[in-house]
Amino acid sequence: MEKEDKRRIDVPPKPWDYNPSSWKQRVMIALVAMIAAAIAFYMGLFQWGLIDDVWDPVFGDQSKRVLQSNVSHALSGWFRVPDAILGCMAYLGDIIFALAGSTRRWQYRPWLVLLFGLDVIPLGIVSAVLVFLQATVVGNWCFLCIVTAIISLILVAMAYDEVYSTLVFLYRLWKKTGDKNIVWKAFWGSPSEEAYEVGLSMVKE
Amino acid sequence: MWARHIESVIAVWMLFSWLIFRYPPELIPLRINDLVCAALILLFSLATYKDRFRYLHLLNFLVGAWLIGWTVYSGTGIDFAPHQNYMVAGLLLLMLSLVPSRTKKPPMAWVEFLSKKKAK
Repeated sequence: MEKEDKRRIDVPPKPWDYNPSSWKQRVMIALVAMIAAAIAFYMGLFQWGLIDDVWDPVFGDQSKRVLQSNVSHALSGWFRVPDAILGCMAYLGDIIFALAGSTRRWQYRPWLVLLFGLDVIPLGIVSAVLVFLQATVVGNWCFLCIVTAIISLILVAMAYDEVYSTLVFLYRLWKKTGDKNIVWKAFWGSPSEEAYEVGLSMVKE
Repeated sequence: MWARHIESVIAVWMLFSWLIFRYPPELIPLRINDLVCAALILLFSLATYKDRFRYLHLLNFLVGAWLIGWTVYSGTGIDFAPHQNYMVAGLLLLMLSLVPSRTKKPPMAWVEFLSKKKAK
């Protein structure tokens, strides 16, 4: 792809002053998610029994009680894998889907951005709910779980702009055409004159 | 193509899983499953390099689902390492298989559409 073409697709969509699909934005998300994935993996190693202790500078042994609680065992029973490892996989999913696609994927690959949003946004909410369960059901706190929950909420804040742009793009396309077929094709990354025009109307070139 | 490279690494990992997790000799079906899955993952990932088979990587989604299904059906707990390996590999495959191959660029259809626009 020519340099000029690259520049043409790396443009901010309204209402943003920056491109939410830019590499800078997405690599930052991947780096933050990587920290959370490493922490979750560390807790998963404890749940697998591969390490004997979990580091917690604030709540001491409470972390172990949380990670070995009935809630945690129930989740492991349902998903057949420790809940911390499941969390780690979700953060790895954030990394995988953050790094996939061009710098105009909000228009060219809406399905990918929405998949990314589905991974990031519910994960943030689930993390917050699990921390809430620590206090109310388990009666103990886990420092690293709280750290990952905060990171999850940061990821939601970092990722929502791109998801918003994609939803606006699809909504405007629907408003313009009223044709389910065109919107469906645009969702899966097929071009059309209408999708091109809607995309053009959204960017500040 | 980075997603295809990682899939290939998972295939190699599956190939050596019986050594890494020290499968007991009686677990022959597990070894066969590892071998077949590794071969399929490699086939689907590498074939994607040919333009004709560019969507073949999507079949790795089925391999991932198979690995997860195997673990769920077997009903083993989180202390059985070979099945935990299946779960982790399976979940990674589910996600990676969805990533398009030439992912840094817009889809081919858009590239062609924009080139036609530019030519006009």
